[in-house]
Parts: sequence; C-alpha cells; structure tokens
Amino acid sequence: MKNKIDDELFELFSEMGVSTPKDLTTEKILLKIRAVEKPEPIINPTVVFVYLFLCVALPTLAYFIIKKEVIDMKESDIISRYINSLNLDYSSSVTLMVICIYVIIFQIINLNHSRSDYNCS
Amino acid sequence: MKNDDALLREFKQGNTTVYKELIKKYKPYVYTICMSLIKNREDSEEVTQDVFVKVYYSMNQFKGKSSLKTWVYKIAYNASLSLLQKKNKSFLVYDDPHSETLEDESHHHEFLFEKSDREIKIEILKRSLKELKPIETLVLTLFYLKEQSVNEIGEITSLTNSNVRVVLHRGRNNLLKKCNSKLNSK
Repeated sequence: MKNKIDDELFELFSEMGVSTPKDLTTEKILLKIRAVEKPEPIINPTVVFVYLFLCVALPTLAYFIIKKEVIDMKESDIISRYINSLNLDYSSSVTLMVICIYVIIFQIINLNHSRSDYNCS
Repeated sequence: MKNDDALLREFKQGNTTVYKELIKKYKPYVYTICMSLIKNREDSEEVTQDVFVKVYYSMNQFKGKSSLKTWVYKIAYNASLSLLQKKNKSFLVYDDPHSETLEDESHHHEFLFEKSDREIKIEILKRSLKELKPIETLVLTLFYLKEQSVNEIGEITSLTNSNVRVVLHRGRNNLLKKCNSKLNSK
C-alpha cells in the first residue's frame, strides 16, 4: 500500500510541477550579481558635509579674505568682522583657496572616472 | 543544456557566461524551496535572487563533496532560514520528531485513489501543501517533486536520516488528511 501511495504522490507532484513568477527573470538575477560586483557608491552624509565645506564654504571664506586685503571692506560688514576675528592673512588665504580648488578638481576627475567605469559594464 | 560537471568546469575556467544556464536550470527549484519554507511570494523571490548571488561568488570554492544540485538547495534552505530568523518567525522545526507515535497512514489514502478530476486534485494538493509546517512542506517537496533521496534531504536540512524519514512520514500523513478533508468538503 505504501508504495502505491508513494507512486501516486510522485505522479501528482510531477504533474503539479514547478513554476516561477514572471518577475523573477534570469536577467534580473544577473543584474543583481553585477550590482554586487560593482556596488553603487554609498553617499555618506558626513562626507557630503566635508566636501560641501571644502568646496563651498572655505573658498567663499578665502575669497572674502583675499578681497578684504585688496579692497578694504566696511567695518560694519558682518563678514569682514568675522574674517578679522580669524586673523588670517593674504598668503594663508591663497593657500586655502588653492587647496579647495585642488579638492574640487580631484572630485570632478574622480566622478568622471567612476561614471566611465559604470558605462563600461 | 550542459550537465552540472561541465557547467562547473567551464565556470571555474573563467567562462562566467555559463552561469546563465545554471540559473535557468535551478531557478524554479530554488524558488520552490524558498516558497515552501517562507510561504510568501515577494520574500521568496528576493531570497532566490540572493541565493544565486551567493552561489556565483562561492562556486570557485565548491569542492564537490555533494552534488552541485544538493549544494545549491542547501544554500537556498539556509538563506530561507536566515530570513525567517530575521523576521523572528519560528520556522521550525520539527518539535522533536520522535515525540509523537507514528500514525498509520493507510486510512488516509482515499484522496489519492478517488476518481475525481485530476486538476481539482492538484489544486487541493497545492493548497494543502501550503498549510503544512514549513519543514514538512520542504521535505515532501524535495522527496516527491525533486526526487531527492533521504540522504540528500538530510544533507540539505542537516537532519539525520531517521529524522528525515519521520518528518516525511508525518508530513505525508498530514498532507493526506488535509487533502481528504478538502476533497470531502467539495
């Protein structure tokens, strides 16, 4: 009897067969494998903050310092007072500006490089 | 379609395009294993994808102690278990398989030999399978659908052979009981 039950169950299961949902395509799986191989860069908020600081805030500050050295700003100007309190001279402002420009250029090169990598895949 | 040895050899030689064939071959089975344990379509799809990612990156370490098929199924089993544990769902297992005396199943065979419509029977079978405990659904599916031996099922699930037999016996009993009650209520 047990064999008959087994035979019948084997038959029913084989008729039932296996099926996969239409959404689960081989291409979808291959894409996931590729995504693991070359993960998309994760945007870290701290890094974004540091870059914004280096690329926007510092150059602005440096610009005003340089400007102040060349053309005297009004004493009442808030930025001018703030810059005075920092005690930065002309040469250190230029150095700061150069560092910021270097970071911006480096970032642009880096961004282009990662984009071309992504296109190649 | 190439056999598993050829697929494995070519993959290890660096021809990763053969992996597409492996996916096509095992995708329905891996999905069925995940579905029998997780019993949820979206999660099973997600886990099936993860299984193939894992297999892809582990293929080079595969030593061939078991067949490729058994190894892939074991990864599917473990991935499904991990998801259930993450979701705090008590999968498992089988309370001690020996805790109940094994019931004689001979009086549950009515469903199998009833001369009713084949399609109806298969529909009843599908619905009854979903209602079983995950481990019972899995063991029955592996045994009757994929025709895996008790040994292979033991390798996949890390159960001893005698435990597999007990789960198989109990699962079959429960399945036939559920099928019978559904058939009688029609």
